[in-house]
Amino acid sequence: MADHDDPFDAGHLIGHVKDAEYFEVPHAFALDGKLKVPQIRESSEPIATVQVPIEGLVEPFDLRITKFMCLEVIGAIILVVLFVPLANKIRSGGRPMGRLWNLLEAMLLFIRDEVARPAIGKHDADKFLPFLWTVFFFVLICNLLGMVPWAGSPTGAFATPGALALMTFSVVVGAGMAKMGPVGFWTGQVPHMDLPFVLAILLKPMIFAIEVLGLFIKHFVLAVRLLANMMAGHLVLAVLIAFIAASAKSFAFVGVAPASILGATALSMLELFVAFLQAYIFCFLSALFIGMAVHPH
Amino acid sequence: MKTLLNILAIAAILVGTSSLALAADEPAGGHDATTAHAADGHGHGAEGHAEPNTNPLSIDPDLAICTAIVFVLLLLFLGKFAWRPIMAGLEKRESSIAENIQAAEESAAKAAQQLEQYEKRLAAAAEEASQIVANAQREAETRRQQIVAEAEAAAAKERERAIEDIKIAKNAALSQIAEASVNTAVGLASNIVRREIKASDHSQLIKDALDQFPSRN
Repeated sequence: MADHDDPFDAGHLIGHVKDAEYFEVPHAFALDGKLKVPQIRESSEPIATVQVPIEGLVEPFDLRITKFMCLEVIGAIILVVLFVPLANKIRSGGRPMGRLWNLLEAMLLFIRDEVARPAIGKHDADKFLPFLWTVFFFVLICNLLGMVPWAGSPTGAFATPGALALMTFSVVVGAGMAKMGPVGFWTGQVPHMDLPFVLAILLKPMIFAIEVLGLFIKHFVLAVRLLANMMAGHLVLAVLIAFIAASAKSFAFVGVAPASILGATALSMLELFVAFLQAYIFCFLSALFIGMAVHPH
Repeated sequence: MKTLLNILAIAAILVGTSSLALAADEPAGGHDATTAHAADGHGHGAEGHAEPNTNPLSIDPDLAICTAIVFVLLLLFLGKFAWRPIMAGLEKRESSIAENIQAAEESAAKAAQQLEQYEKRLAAAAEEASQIVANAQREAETRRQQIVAEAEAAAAKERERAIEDIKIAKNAALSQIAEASVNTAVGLASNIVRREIKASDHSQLIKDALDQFPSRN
């Protein structure tokens, strides 16, 4: 049981950042400040669980709807509401007018001209552009939802960036195999080297193993990078706010509270920047990996 | 696009099955573990007061599957209703801008060419005009000289005729004066003679005078 009297308790702090089955809202809106997410399955009995060496690494599969699932759907709806009308305007062939149109089109064109085309090559880039656009804006909206009060950042739970990285991995391997052939893609992982036959027999399987391992690690790190950035930012914010609670009973509160608020505000600005930066990095690295798979070496 | 969708569909299935496989691994393993876990997670969701999972890397298979489904649906939906039209629209706008620029360049080149032509033509026209003026001046000069010469010739001719006329008139006048003076002399002489000549002499004189007539005419 977490000690809720200690504001710096790890479980308590991480509980504010991690996924949950409720939204934390002011007490005026819900009893005990927790707005429960409606469930399709009443029981919280796990349907299936998995035992892994690290305790608690894989949570049970229980079909319970969580906050982050709701936020992902909300984010997806926001993207549809933003981009479908925009598409109708752009299709008409008019020139961009208004802030929103220019803002969104600038980002779309940046991804196309500065990310997709340099990394994949102009000819192939357009095939992967829908994927890259979706990745960028989905990650971005998930990151930005973390800056909305009482919401949270779905990218702060490993399942989200993990699933997205698996998507990128699938596209990379799928695109590579579609372009080079299933055998060509995997043998292409070993760079061409002029080796004596005996050495080649020895070295090439090892290099192959390293390269394939590298392929998996690259995508794993892709997920961890996004997760770490989002989670760390929100944890730091939680700690800064926790200072207020920790000093609430002493006179230091007078100095700590404004400092914490100022610090949290400044860090929130940084978080806004990080939200865009990490979405860009995720999209950019996805494009790079696709480019490497489609044009090896 | 189609291959991409196929790949993603496979990816979604992969995420789902791998999470499910991970999750389903356990019940196949042993019933004891399952029940133990069930017991563990007993109070887990209901009140949210259970020991929270503090592992920041913990994976919720439900969330992973949900993310994959939301992502693939979003990709499909936006791909059809947003990304394709946007790509086509941007392409259209770019090509129309490129066409406009090319057309503008072409018309500028054409305009420059025309300007050059017109300038050439204008220069030629100016040249021609000055030629025409010069010709006209030359002609006018010639004509003037001609007219002057003609006028001078005519004037000279007129004067000559006038001089001739004057000469004739003078001669006539002189002969008239001579006649008149002869007549006067004759009249005077006859008056003088009539008083001293007698009738015979008179007829003789008439006869002489009559003789003289034919020779006078």
